[in-house]
Amino acid sequence: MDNARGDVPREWYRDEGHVGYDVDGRKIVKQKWDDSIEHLIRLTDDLSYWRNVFDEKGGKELVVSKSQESLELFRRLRTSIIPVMDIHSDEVRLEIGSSDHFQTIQVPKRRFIPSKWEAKLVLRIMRGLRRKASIQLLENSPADNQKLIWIEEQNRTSERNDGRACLPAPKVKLPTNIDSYNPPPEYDCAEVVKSIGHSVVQKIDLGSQVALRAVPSYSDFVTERTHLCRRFQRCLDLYLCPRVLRTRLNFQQSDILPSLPTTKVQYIHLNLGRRLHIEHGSIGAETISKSPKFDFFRTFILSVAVHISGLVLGPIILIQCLLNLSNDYRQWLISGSADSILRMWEVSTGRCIRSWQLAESASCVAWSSHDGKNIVSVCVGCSLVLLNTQKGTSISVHEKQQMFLTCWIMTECSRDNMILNERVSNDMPSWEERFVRRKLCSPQKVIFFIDRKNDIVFVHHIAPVERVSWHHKGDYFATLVPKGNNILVHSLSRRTTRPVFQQQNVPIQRAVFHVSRPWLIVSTRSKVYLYDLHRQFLVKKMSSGSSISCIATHFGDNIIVGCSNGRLAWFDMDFSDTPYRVLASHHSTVKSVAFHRRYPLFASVSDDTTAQIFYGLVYSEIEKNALIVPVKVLRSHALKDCEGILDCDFHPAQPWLFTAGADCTIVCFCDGV
Amino acid sequence: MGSTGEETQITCKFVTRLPEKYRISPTPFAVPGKLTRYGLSEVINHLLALDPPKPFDFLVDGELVRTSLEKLLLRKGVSAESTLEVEYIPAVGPPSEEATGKHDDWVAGVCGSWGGAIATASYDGTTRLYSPKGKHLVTLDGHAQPVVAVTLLPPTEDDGNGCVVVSGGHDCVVRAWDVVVDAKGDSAKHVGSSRVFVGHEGTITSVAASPDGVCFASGSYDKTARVWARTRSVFEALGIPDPNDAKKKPAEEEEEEEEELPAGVVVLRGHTDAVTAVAWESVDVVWTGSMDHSLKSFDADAGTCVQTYAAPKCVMGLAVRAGGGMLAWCGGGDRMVHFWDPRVGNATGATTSLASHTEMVVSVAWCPGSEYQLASTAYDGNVKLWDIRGKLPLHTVKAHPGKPHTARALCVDYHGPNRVVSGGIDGRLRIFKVDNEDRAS
Repeated sequence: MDNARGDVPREWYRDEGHVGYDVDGRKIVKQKWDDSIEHLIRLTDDLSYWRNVFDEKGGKELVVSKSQESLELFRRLRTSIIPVMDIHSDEVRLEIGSSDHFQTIQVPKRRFIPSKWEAKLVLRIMRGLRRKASIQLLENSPADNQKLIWIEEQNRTSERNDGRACLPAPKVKLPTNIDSYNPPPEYDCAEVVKSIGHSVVQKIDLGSQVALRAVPSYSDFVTERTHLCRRFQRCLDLYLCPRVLRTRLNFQQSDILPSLPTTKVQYIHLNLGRRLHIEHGSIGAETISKSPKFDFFRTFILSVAVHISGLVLGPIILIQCLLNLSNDYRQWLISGSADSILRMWEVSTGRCIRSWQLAESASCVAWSSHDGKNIVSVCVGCSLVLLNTQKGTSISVHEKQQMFLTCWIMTECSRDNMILNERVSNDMPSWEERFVRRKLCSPQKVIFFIDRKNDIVFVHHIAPVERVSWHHKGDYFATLVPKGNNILVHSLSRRTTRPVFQQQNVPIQRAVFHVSRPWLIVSTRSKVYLYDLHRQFLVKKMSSGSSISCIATHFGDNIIVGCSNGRLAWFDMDFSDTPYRVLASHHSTVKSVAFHRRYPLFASVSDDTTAQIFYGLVYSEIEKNALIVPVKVLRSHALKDCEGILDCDFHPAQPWLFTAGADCTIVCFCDGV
Repeated sequence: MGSTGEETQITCKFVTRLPEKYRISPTPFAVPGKLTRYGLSEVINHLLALDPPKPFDFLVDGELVRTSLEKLLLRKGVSAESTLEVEYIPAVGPPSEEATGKHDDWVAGVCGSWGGAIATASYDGTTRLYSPKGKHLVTLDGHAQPVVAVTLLPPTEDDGNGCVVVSGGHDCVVRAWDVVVDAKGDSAKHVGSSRVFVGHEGTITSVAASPDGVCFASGSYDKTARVWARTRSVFEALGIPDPNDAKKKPAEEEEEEEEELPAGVVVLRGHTDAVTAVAWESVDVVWTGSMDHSLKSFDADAGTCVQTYAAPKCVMGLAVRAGGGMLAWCGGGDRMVHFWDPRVGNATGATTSLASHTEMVVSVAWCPGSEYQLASTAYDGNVKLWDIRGKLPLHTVKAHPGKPHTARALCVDYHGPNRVVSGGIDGRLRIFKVDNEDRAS
């Protein structure tokens, strides 16, 4: 296209000098239209002028050629055939002029106004209906080849041709189940049978039946059908066989677990928090030097005169032993340390209340109570020292009552008319005197020395005393003298001593009294012996399999034994000679084990600086075994010179565990949330 | 009020019981939901145009606002569309240390119940009186052993400035001194001789004065508590000289100046372990806490046990709210302050607890005149102030600092509503001033 005018109406260029733009953007100048005179001149001059056509869009004249193609094109256009030469068919016509396209351009008005003729027709039909002559109207409307197929029937049945609508024929009800055995009479087999005269069928009454169950049939039909037979029998079996009421195993996962301690009880001990952190030595020494007011704060001198103000704490203070009993008051904790000081602590605050200077470091301390009074027994060197901790503590208690230890022993002696071969002195024994005294001892004999002034009883042995264990009634106590390989059982009231063994070659590790029975439990490195002191015979011999380091007894028939390979063995005395349960809980030597007196708990401490608490419930039923559950590993102590925790004990009433470590601290673990 | 963007607006109605000058219009208005206590306080201060600003605390349904309002509503399951009624109260200011009293040894007991002086009990065997400003007034000597408990019997009408200091300790006796503080409160002296109350067989753990000051109770490791009469007022009120005084004094003047009075009036038996705490609910009801995991209330006249509460832990400290009867107790290794209301009546029922201390809590004290505030102290050396309407402490003070496990506070008490006093193993009595307008009003 030359003119790039675009889709712009031609009128817009009416007053312009150009008619559009060519492809380069230049204006196409409008050519002047010839006037009629010039047109006439050219028509006469130019023979081909009549074939000229003015192209308004291009703005120029075109000459239509007289060629055959052009003529054909014109012919086609005139005869409304598609002007393209390729299409030769005359069928394809452009319906110019008759097409809807052209007609819809102007919709006549009559399309929108109601037709008068149709209104007349409707009026006529309406009148006809009123005259009940609709049928006649309808008769005329259908085509000739169409007719209602029921019209004849209708005419026949209604007999009325007055155009009134007749009632439709009633519908026949659909057959139901009951019709299957109540056939209509034309299908009644009885008549058929009559007509055939068959012998077999005659027996069957095929007439109408009341119900399906009354319909005669072959009785074995179901069972004889092969593919149904087994299933039927099976269903019959299931239906008729007696049902076994099978109890479903309806249990929770928790039911098959052993009856563990209730959460509350266990968690009392689970969240054990470190409560008291007693810096052994430092608090005591500081407060003692600060408070020169009280007599009892001045250390009690048992051998050499060392005043407390000159006390120098050694670099290594091992708390070798610790015991916290004091069953009546449960208030005090006793500890002995390698700096030869015996200290008494207040449990609830961690305060060092009293301290005693000993001649040597204590190897074992123990509480025993007699008549409500508490006695502390300490193994110091070759002697066992019995102390009255209550002396001088109260002004309310009479002086004589405060000296109960001495008083008690003296009254017991006078009652029995015993000759006092021991010296009763008001003075402290000198070194020489004690040396002489020790000479008087023999492996089978000890010397009781009573210091009336300070209410102290010394029990001198021939060899260093290692352990002491008290009978629960508070009169008898057993001391372990390893040099003599023997155990001496003393009676404090009668001041008699009896060796347990005449001759014993195997070194003894521990000797403890049973908590409630007259039994003495003695352990060597590999075996545990149980002696009945009352009847004087060996009750039981148990072997742990590894070397024993410590031992503790339950108030029932159970013993726990700590071994040097870190194992903990629980022996049931009624059960077997071998351990009922071995707990491999520690890495290194178990230093001490302890039972709680009230809660079902036991604990073990070891050189690996951990303390472990176990739940150990012993049932009263004899057939039920003890339940042992590890509860918690407690870590608080530091390792010092390959030693961790040295001793432990439980509070008598509360679920609190006291541990004494080689790092010079005593820690109290108490129950958490 | 709808939400604009992501920010939730909560319609709040602010009410208060404060005097007129702190009141704002009760018309509800919208505040951003992300506001916390501080933001709400700023809003109130802005509305009141207070200068200097005054901190407020806010209560929703009787619970202190400690999170943003949005979170609070979410937790309570309340629609943010509804109008929220917020009550505002003056906030308790942070405690500031006012004075320190130095002792030679651990301070195990402190009492501030009397306005004139603060009494302390120390492990050095003395009982001391301090003025509220921290000035040492007098040292009372007489115990032969550490003193762990002290209380003050407030003066009766005819006593004037005098009061009775009652202390008990490891020597199993309770001693009482008559002390007169001069009008300026600068000095004090003890009048006459100390009286000794003998009868306990174990060390004394606590003493508590009855609300009317006529008698006092003491708890001991011998599993009993005893109620003793204050004998001085009996003799002096009648205007006759003490017959014991007249007879004994000439003979024993040189060697022993104290005379032993008759044994305890009423012995309260029933516990199976040491009685570690005593507290009076009213003039005739004493509550005792024990190591046997129980709290018992006794009729102080008859000595019979009235009510028992089985506590889950051993009880170390006990305080009874004045008038309200709510018990606060602590002890055991659970490091919490527990509450139990005896009026509810369930012997083992669930109690509310406040947990924030890191070591064993040993002492609690209710703020006088307040139904909700209390102070507690623990072996972690901290003193914490609580409002029981919130789960977090109002303030924490490192009252007795030191190395871990060696910094332990032992006792705490209120001295009036605006002072908290505490003692610890560093041998210091600490007096803290607390700005506390709620209780003053």
